[in-house]
Amino acid sequence: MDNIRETVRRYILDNFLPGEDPANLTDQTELKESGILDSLSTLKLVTFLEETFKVEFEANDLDAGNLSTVESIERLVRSKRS
Amino acid sequence: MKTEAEVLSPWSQAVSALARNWLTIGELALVAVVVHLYQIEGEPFSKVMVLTAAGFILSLVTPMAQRLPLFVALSLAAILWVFGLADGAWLIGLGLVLIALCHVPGPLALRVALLLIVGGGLAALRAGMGETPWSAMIWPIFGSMFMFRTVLYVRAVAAGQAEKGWVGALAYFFMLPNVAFPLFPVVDYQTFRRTHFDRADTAIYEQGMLWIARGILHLVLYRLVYYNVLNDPADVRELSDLVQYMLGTFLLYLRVSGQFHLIVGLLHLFGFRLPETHKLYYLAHSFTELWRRINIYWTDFMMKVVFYPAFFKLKKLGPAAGVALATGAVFFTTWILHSYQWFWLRGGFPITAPDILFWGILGALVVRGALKELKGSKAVKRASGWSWKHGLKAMTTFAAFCFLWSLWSTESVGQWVWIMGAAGRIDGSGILLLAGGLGVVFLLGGRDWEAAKAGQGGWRELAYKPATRTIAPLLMLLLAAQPALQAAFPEPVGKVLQSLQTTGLNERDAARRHRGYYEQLDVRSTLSAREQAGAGPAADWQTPAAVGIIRERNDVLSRDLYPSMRVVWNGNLFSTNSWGMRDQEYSREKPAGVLRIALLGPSHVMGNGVADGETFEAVVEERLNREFQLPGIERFEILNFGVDGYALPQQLALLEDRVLSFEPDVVIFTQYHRGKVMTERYIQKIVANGTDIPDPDFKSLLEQAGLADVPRGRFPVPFEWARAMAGALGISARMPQDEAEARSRWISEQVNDWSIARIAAAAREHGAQPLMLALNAVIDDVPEGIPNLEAVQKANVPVLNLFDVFPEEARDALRIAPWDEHPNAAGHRLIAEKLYEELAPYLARYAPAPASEPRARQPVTTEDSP
Repeated sequence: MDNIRETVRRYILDNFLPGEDPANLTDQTELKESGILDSLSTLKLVTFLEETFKVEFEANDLDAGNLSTVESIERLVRSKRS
Repeated sequence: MKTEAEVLSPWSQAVSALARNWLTIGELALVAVVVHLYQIEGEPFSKVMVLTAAGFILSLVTPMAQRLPLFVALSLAAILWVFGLADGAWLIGLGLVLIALCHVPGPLALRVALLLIVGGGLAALRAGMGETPWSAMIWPIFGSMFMFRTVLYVRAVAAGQAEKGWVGALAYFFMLPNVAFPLFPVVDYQTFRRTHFDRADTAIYEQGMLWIARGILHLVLYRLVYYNVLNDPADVRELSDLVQYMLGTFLLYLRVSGQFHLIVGLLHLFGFRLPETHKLYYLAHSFTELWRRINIYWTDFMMKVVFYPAFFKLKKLGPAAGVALATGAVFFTTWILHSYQWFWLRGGFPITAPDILFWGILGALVVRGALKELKGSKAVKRASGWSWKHGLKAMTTFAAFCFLWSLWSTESVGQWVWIMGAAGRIDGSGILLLAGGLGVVFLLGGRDWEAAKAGQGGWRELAYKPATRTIAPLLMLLLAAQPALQAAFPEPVGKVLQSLQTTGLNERDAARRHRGYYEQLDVRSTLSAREQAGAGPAADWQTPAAVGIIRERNDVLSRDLYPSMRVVWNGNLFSTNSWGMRDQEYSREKPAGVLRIALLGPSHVMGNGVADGETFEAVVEERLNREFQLPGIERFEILNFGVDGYALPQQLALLEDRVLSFEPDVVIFTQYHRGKVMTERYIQKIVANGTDIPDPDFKSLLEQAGLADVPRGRFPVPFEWARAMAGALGISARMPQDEAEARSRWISEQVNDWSIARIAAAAREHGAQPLMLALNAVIDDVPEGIPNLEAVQKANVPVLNLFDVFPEEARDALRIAPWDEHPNAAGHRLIAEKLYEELAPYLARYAPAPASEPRARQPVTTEDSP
């Protein structure tokens, strides 16, 4: 479980929050509200998730609630894997 | 940093929350005072504010589970209060039908089909294809509630994300502030439900109050721009005018951002922690960032229903092609949906060239930005503090968007091309204004405002507290509204401060009735007496041209009245005599013992909307003959030469053409609030018709404005040099209407001044005393001063000042119809009463010698005037 979270956290920190203190990105940090994820970064993240975890997403999966935090992303990936 | 919950005991937390809630109540009271002082957003919003204040206090003592039903009850009450029981019930009923259709058992396609059928029927009714038992005033709000939200809701139902029961749906569709705002954020259903009290309620309330205060500030700043900065495209001559126009039109968007802040802030008071709207949009660093910031609700809506579905279908083409095509689809849909929104709010479906160009160019710029972002592998860390690179990016984005926005705000591409020509006429003020405007964006845009909030202490921490940022602007506005403070400033500053409390149209819009996209979508001002009375312009309501009383001419008169007409016009008998006057028959030769007054003027002098004998001219004439006595005068005659639409140069032309041959002793000409606009229209008409101008002075004025001998070809070509080139190439060119409009604006004041001087001189040459009647139709926004007064004084013409003759409280009763500002019979009687009082002293002075002592008609000198 922590592997998915940590992979997602690392990807977000590296790609969308360069130079940011990792402690500031918690599992509950609001990714959309805080401006970390916008439409394009969402697509980048989704592509990354599809390639890394071998899952496939649909447009409906990108609703704000599913990608709102690292925790919810992890939940979404798990649901796709099952 | 530890949260309050971690450092305070439960008891202390409760006390702290109570204190903060009381502070919110205090802030709400302050908001109510400011809203009242500035008359923010009109009467429906005042009602919403009352319900919000009462509802908020009630919700504080209501158990959490009952807060959503309380919100629904308040929302439905607001609809019934604003629209009345019958219309309110219809609105709610129609809404319930649409919500029910979203829940019909069966596949999604069936629900969508049913919604399309019912929606199509409603659209047909909106378009006027049938009678409705409800009044037209509910359409904009009904449209605003259902035109986009239904899409999101049915999608949520299909995905199994909608709740059981009606409360959530009712709260979503009928949400309280919507009844006061036709232009409303497209709130996402899932976000609306997911964020309801998902944090500590006190923090949500504080955020809401902050945004309400910010919204009010935006709305007041909008007035600052609307009444003091915005100029008319036809007034753009030099670079300074162009910069003013471009800045002014873009800053008008403060109205939308103000309303959205207010709406989202009010929803926060009921626990809906919705996203921040219009976040620092004037300081965006790229077009893609601006697109995301300017209306996050629309952006999210488009992402959800267009961008992501399109991308997932197209991604097999590659990410770049997928993003480019999906973004293009978003902008195409946005363009179409703006017209769709226009349809529900205003009833039409406009497709204009500026609209297509605006969305097309903006879409292309955002696609370009998106592809650039997509190629960039990683985000670049924003510099803390101030960065000149960011400042430069913000400045160029702002400048480019101002440029684009000005295209969207003009009425035609031709008009936009014409005003852009002013960029070549560089003046010092223009350079200063441009440098100043862009400099401010450069300085502010270079700062990272998000980073600035963090890690501060001392007074800065205090300044960033929500309460401080809420109360400070409200107190500032409260102070600015104090008459004593306004009087303490120099007069121009005091007037600007007063304008912040003004409502209604500015001078330009009052004259032209044209406004930008979002201003026109604010349809609340049209939901007034006309529609509340259930009587829009009647289908059989006739204009002067339609009733056939106007004779179009191709000389300097341009138009006059057909002689010997007798028609029934909008229920009133309208007759002209054999000379084409709206009057009884008179002989051309003035009989002995008669004091003759010639009255010139536009429609309200002619008596548009009243029957024969009810015009103020007829009433004054009858009273003079009944009550007023002068030695040697047996009878008074007032000859009504008023003609619908007459501007001052036409009054002069008529005076010279025929009026003087009736040997008047007194000539009264009329100036009114639309005098300048009507003169502009007159000039445009004679230029378009190629009318021969015999008067050298008038012709010289037209030459000054480049309006003499204008080619009258087939194709509109802006600029003289371009027309000359087109002519050389054998292209049949003509001056576009927008250019003629601008050029006529340059000289209309001078033409009116010249007309006044000529009327005065011509009257005096023929032994008549000139008088000017200052008389408006029954308008609400009466200008402060009488136009061209300096020229009137220079010509030594006395003024019969009836400029503000209609008392404000009686105006509705003095118009011929709610949609027509001409005075009715009562209005004419009121004018007659005041005119009689003003005119009588002059008649004693200007009476001709008694018939027993005949005298030759002598020219009147200016010394004869008081």
